[in-house]
Amino acid sequence: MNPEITPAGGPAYRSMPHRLAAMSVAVLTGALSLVGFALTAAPAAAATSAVSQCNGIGPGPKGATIKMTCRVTIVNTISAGKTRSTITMSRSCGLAPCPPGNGTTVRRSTTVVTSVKQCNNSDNDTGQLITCSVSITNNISADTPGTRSTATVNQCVGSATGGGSYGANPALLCSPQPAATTNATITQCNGSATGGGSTAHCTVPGSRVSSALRVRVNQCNGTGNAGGVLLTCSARIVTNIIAASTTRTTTANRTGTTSTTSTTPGTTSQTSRVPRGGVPAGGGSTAGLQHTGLLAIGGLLLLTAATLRVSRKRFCRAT
Amino acid sequence: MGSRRERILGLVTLLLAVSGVACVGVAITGQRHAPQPTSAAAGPVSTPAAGSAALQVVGPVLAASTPVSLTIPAIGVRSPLLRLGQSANGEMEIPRPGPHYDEAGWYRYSPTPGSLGPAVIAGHVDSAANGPSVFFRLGHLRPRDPVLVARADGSIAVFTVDTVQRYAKAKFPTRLVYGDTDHAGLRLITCGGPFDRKSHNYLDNIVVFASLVRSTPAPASGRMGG
Repeated sequence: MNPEITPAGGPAYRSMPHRLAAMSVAVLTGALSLVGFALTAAPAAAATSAVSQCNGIGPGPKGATIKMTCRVTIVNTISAGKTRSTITMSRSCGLAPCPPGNGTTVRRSTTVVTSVKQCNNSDNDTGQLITCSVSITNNISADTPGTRSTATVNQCVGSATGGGSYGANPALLCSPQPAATTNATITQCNGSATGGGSTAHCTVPGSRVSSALRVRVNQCNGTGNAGGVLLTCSARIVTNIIAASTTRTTTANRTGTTSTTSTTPGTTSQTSRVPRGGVPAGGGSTAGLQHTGLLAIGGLLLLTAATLRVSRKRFCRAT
Repeated sequence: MGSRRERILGLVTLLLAVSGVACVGVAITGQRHAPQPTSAAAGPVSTPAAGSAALQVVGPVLAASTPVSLTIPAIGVRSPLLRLGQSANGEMEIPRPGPHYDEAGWYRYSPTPGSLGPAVIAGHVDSAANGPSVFFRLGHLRPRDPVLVARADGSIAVFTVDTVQRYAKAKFPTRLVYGDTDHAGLRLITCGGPFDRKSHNYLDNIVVFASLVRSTPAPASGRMGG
């Protein structure tokens, strides 16, 4: 008789090894449950990337730049748990030492851009026009958790301190001003255009961000510090909440039940809705044999003429 | 007497024969068939750009602006542009019977002509009763023929034909026609090939692929001239 098993109806108890085993299983199950819960409850971390343009451009062997214009336009999309972005970058740099890269490029990515660094520590060699802009549009589906808020700004601190200004412009033309939030969403035009006769014109038009997509813009800092510089920088972040873009297709199978699948349309495609099949663009009036009535009449007339001709020959022979 | 009857009979026979020949001649010369693309017009078609790959834009690109009219000098087309959507079955809408049947239309879910991507313009080759329509001679286009699209911003986007292709509707190359491109492209689409009397449909489509080569700028706002 097994001593670890009590007779039927007796008190239920087990030996130590069994209790340890049971406890281990319970602990393991609990731990696995916690891990599973943590994995399912944690928001999926969006794949992110950074964009950098026109930074650290300085004097070179051929002299200074005479004009530099840099633009970045980004469209981020988060929909149905998927991310994508379209990044358009254009640059026009007037003279060496600009590295190669003038022109416009468009890049698509399955990540969203969360960091843009542009026109920092650049063009500190001579008087010139520096124009830099960043435009970010975030399209976030309504089913993505997050809240919207106004973008914070830190700009125009310690800039245009050299005396005088560029042309008839005021030395410092910034909006909003003052704007000195620590760890701001947009940090720009700090310590810039500090040479004599320089102007810093920096703006952040009404911008909003979402906690679902934390974006940072850092531009035009420590830039254009020679004399006679007109530094114009702007940064804008637009955050749109879009409809949860799922298309449901219901199909019946052989057993008569239905199955439903959801697909997310490729909203970044150049053609937003691709039509099905070919294009039915014709009525058929110029297809095949036309004027069949006229052809039939002509044929009949020719046939009659031929018949008369034969009859006439016979008549002539008879007479 | 016999000679007179013989002459009358001969005259009637001649008259019938001449009339018959005239009828057949008119019927044959009156045949109108839409030209189909030749092998000379069929050049290579650039493959669509991959969805997530880096995209280097080739050639000029314009900002988006709705197209308002189309001109194709080589085949005498001048047409205002309708806005086409999708029908309930997912096919592209086409100009409906009525006063605008013979006008071409821009597919409004495609890029505007001149901006990056494949702008799509469709038009009928003919009608059920009235003969040739706006794109009757589309298959006659040849590479390098110009296609001009006037836009709402006042600019004119000038494209040139790259290639002219004919595809069976049953095997329509959707991705090739509507897929992303690395340039400002244009697709002109109409019907072609044999006509199916049962379904009242042409079995093929003719597709002209064109690329933007230049544009005339939009006029400055305000009064022009003095």
